[in-house]
Amino acid sequence: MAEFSILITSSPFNGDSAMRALAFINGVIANGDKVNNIFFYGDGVYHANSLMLDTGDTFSAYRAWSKLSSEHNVALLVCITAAVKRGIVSQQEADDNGIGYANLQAPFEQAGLGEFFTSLHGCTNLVQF
Amino acid sequence: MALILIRLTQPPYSNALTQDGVDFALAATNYGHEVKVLFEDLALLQLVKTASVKGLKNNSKRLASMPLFDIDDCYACKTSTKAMQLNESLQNTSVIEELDCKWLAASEKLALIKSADHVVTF
Repeated sequence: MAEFSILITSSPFNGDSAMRALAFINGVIANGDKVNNIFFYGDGVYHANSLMLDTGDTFSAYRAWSKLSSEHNVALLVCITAAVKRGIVSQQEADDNGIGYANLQAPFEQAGLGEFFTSLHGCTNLVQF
Repeated sequence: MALILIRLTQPPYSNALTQDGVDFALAATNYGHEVKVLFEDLALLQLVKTASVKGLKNNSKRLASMPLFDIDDCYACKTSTKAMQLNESLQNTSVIEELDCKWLAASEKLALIKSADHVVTF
C-alpha cells in the first residue's frame, strides 16, 4: 500500500485545481492506498476559510474537503504561519488578538511545517496541487 | 530522509510564492530532509543581489542563508536565461555568491528532477 502526502498551495479560486486535487485523493483512497495527510500551505490556506459562502452554481471546495475528511478520516492540516498572515485564524488567535470570529474550524486543524515534514518521512509520494 | 527538489519560478518581491518557497526550503532541512533548489524562469532574478527595503524581508539575505541550513546544492536553468532574456540582467549585476549556483542545461535539469524523491514548485 502506497502512502501519499498531499500539498495544496493553490487557492480555491485557482481554476479547477481543487476539483483535481479532490478527484485525485478520492482515487487514491478508492485504489486502497493511504492519504497520510493533506497540508494546506501558502495561498492554499484559503481553502480553510469557513466564512466562504456558496454561490450556487460553482464548486464548493470547503464543503468537499469537509465531506472528504468526515468520510475517510483524513487530516486537513493548515500551516499556521501562512494562515494567520492571510486572516485565517483559530479560536485561540481570535481570543488572543481580540478578533470577533474564528474562521478556522474543524475538520481543518492548525499545524506547522514541522508536522508536515515529519509525516513526509513515512510517505513514498508527495503530490502538489 | 527524502531528497526534495524545490523549484523556484517567481521573481523576488512579486508575490507570496517566493517567500513561501524559501520558508519551505529552510524548514525542510530542519526535519531531516535533503533539499536542492532549482531557479527557473523569472526566479533567476532572485539571484540578483538586492538592497533591503523597509518592511520587506530581504530575499537576497534569506537565500544567502541557505548554506547555513545545509542547502548546498543550488542550480539555475540555462534555458530560462534565453527564454526570459535575462542574460544581460545577470551579467551586469551582483549575484548572490554564497549560493554558488551551477548552471544546468535542459537535459541536466531533467536528470536532477528524476533524481529527487519529491519535487515541489513555487
